[in-house]
Amino acid sequence: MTGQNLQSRKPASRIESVGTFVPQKRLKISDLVENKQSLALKKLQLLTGIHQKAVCSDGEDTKTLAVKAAMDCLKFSSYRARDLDMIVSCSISRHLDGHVYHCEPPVSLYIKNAIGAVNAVNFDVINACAGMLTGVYIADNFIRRGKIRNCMVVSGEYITTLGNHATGKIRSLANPELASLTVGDAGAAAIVERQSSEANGLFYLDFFTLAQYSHLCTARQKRSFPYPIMKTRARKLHRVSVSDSKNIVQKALENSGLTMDQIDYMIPHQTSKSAIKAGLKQYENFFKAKPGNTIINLKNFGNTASTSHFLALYCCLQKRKFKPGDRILLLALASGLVVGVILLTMDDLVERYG
Amino acid sequence: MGSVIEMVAVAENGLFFMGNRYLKLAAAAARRCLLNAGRKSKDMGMIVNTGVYKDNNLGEPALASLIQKRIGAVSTPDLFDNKVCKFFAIPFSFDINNGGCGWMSGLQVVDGFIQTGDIFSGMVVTCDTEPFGTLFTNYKYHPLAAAVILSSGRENAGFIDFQSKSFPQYRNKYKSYVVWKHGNGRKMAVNELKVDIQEDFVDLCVKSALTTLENLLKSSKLKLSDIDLFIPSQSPTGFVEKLAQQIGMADRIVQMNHKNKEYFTAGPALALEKVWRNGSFRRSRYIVFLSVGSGITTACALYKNK
Repeated sequence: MTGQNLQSRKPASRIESVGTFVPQKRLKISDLVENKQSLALKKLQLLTGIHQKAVCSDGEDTKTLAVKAAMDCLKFSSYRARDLDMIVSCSISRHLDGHVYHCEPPVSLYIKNAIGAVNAVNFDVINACAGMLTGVYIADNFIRRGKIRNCMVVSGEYITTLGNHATGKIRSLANPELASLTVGDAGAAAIVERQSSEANGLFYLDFFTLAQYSHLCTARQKRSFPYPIMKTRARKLHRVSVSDSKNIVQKALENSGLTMDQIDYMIPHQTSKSAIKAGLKQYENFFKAKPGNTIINLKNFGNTASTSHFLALYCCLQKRKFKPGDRILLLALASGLVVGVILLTMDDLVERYG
Repeated sequence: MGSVIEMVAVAENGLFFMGNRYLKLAAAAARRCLLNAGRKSKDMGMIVNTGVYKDNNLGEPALASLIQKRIGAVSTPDLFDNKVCKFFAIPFSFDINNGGCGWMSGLQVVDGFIQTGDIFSGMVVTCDTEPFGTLFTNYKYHPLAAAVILSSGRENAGFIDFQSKSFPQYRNKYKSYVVWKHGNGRKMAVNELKVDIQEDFVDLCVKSALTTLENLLKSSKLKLSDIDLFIPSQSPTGFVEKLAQQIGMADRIVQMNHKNKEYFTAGPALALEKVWRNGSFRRSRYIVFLSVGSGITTACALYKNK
């Protein structure tokens, strides 16, 4: 953004709790590829690092995923649903009652009603795979201005239907619909609250849209096909997102008075193992340093779109990987092309998980 | 004090009848707004798109990023190569969906980022077009796009307060969704947009809007008679008339009568553009924006001119 106020500021907010919901049903990546398809395609599992992904069963949809994640989040929270001041739903998918695409009312209204957040204002944010981080950015702004005390940022991604058009049609790794096979269903929620201590919390948030690349990944409905279709120029998208995000991450670190090796954990958007590793190598050459750990959480979930950062964060919390004081970099790389950086210091949140 | 409205512009369905109609209309409104304000696209720190009905229900990327590209707010490599440059002149774009109140939610979010100094100016764009051309039932919104530029306010002028409230008990009064219509014989199977609206929706919208308006007046310690101008949603049909009956100040409520055309998310922006052009916006001291939409969701904003 063009702002004048880009220096790292005192944290106004922190992540108070995180919750997720992953459907029980699993689909192996190897099952998606039919025998008649090329051998190269069989390397998909090796390339992406995705062994299986979660898939919604009958009765599960965007709303149920989001509501179950929200309830899980409240389980770890000191807030009750009626204490929430704001609910922001950030999913790309808007499928309710099974496969029915809903335009109105907003998904956040259904979530608010289902969890009983009677006092919360609500709206939906749509920003591709950067949706939830965009929601956190907006929530932090409302909290910084004293308009709200807390906000639940929530998303339910029912996106495996994207693969319905792609399955059986893909003959090579260059097919623009290949990425549709890597997506998985999941729900995630996080409560962002006003921060009292200056030592922890979200201390840097900044986002940019490099719109010249906005055509590289698109998902839309078609008149004559019941499910949405996604087309991605994956190689170019990966190339430009790594090359153009380096300066943005550098600026974030400089403004926060940090270097890359002072970041304990980096959580990038979860697309593909080989892409993340290749990107990390380029980052290492550019920064002459690397973060302590980079989280890759693809094996059992696939790319879960806007929920991927918080699903990865949740898994790490449950495995007790973090300790208070750890610096975490959440890196949004989403179609648009959206590049966003959120830097946070972990606090006693770790004690409630695992 | 919050941000001020620097310019508003609209683009109506004209020559934009072929493909990507949403994008063409929205970009036309955005370009016109920038031109009238004498601004460059790169001056915008944030672009928020708030339309609900878009071509083929585009899921990603955010339509705002496509609008950003169309108006030329793109980064250049030299900007990145310049090691001295700490602040990149690149906007951040995303979509907000809050039904008929989306435009107001967009204004509130952009106003917030201006207030905290993250950006100097931002643009809220909105538009609605039929997602699948003529394949719809009960959808009656006229294609219209609007763009508004907000910028850092002067003292004692700009947005003072935003109030929003939803009434989920009425969530079934208005619904819109896409159904898959199976083909038979010569008919192809297609996606079709359906809008279900119940008879009492308009009355409930008025009732809900008055509750939110009351909250706004209470929090700002103003009386109804202090408000010089009301800029309301122009849908659902009959809302503005019924609101005028309830408030009792019909001459202060901006109503757009355009040959029975119904305007959706861009309706209040169109009303704003009318009073912007005829000068009554600048002559008014206190202005209230009042939006309603499915949910039922209501949003109110108080704006003060110096």
